[in-house]
Amino acid sequence: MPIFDTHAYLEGYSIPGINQTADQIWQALQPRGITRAVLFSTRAGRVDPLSGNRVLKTMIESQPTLYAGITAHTGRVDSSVQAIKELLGNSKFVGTLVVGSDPEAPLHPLIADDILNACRRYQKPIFIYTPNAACVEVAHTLAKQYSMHRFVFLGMGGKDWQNAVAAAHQATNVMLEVSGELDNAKIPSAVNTLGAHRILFGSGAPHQDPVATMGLLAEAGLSNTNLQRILIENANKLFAITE
Amino acid sequence: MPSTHYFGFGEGLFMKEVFMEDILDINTLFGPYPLANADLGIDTLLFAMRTNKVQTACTYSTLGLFLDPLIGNAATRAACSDHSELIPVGVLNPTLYLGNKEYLSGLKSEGFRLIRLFPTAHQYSADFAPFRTLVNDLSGLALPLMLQVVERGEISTFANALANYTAPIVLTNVGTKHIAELVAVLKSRSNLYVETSQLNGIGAIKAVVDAIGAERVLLGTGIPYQPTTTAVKMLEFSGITPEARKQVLGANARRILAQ
Repeated sequence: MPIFDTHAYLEGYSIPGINQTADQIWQALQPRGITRAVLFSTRAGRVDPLSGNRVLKTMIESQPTLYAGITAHTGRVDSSVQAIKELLGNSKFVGTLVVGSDPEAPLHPLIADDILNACRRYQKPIFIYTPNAACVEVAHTLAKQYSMHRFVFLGMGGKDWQNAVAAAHQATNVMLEVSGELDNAKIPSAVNTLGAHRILFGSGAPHQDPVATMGLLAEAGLSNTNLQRILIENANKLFAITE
Repeated sequence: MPSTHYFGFGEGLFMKEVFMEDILDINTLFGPYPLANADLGIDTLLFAMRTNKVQTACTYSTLGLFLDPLIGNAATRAACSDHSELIPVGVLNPTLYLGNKEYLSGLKSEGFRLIRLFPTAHQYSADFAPFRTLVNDLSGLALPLMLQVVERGEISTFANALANYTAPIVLTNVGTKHIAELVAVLKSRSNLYVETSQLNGIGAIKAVVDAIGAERVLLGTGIPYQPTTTAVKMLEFSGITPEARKQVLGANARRILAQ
């Protein structure tokens, strides 16, 4: 069964030689059964949105199985908006990840405004990293405020995954990406509450090995139909990728 | 030799490899778990062990973590007396420790082979006086410790606080963000070990094995809260040698628990 990893990173990992190039990260993902992946640029999130996203574009150009998400930083709005205008129309870029200075801290909704408005014309999903309840809370507020966008909550609330499930239950434009806390209870709960069509496979690689998240799915007692939705079909549909 | 069978993901793209080796899981639990919104009963633990060929597991009752060590350790003692494949692990909380050394020696004489400490969950630091008193009182018993770390810097500060503790100390909840600190501290202390339940980054287990040796790494799964499949797959894809894997899967844990 093909697997679409919707959440992986270029650069910024503590073990060298794993994700410093797109080829390196693909060499790690492919043996684990991943057939497609979305990469985000750590350089864009930590240093410079424009150059980071440009480097990412160059690296994935020759890799047909790799896609990219623009990383836009609320502290570097001008550079982020420029990157969105320059790159988001490209078919290899499937959405925009909005980040702040501290990934564990919630975004400030007011300063995300310009970035989210810049994304409107492209009709591609917005990714928000949600490692805890506070981040889920703000992401939920944004999802309700910008109901024209589809939102993907990366990391599914971490240990607070029940908050993420509740938020997605209230906001129908939210999908949950399953990396983060390895709690056996979270996938069955999310599928029961939201349906498998609202859940995406993702790993957060290389920070979390895709096989760690696959373990969660393997023990979730899902039907093959639901597994197929989560592993590949929902992502293909969300990113408008045809087989 | 591992045996391989297919499950769930179809057509062999996701295979589950069950290692036909001596597997001792240093990190399991049972009991109510509010975070999981579930009661992870002893039967759930035993089922997870059987499914993944884990022959032996060190386990503790979550009542000791979330409520009271006295109650939790009693539950652990009862569960392990009914199941020879389970090794009892005591939970101690320095914030409740008033110097009862008889209780500590009683744990050892009742067969508890490992003591777990949860500084973050129980809200104390390495310089907390009752923690130092407790560790001092434990040191004569030579029981191995298992210490949860959360934030960067805790491996260093707790290693310093435990400088005179000569029995094995297993660090748990260690993730990729801790690797540089882990390697630095373990290189300087031969009685420190790490378990694998949170070493979930790509290449993390191999990086640790390459830096400090496979003999210092122990299999931990966190089952039944976490999926056993994750721990098995992490080792399968770790890139370490079969000999190193054998050590991690069981030989190391058996050695330190026998000390």
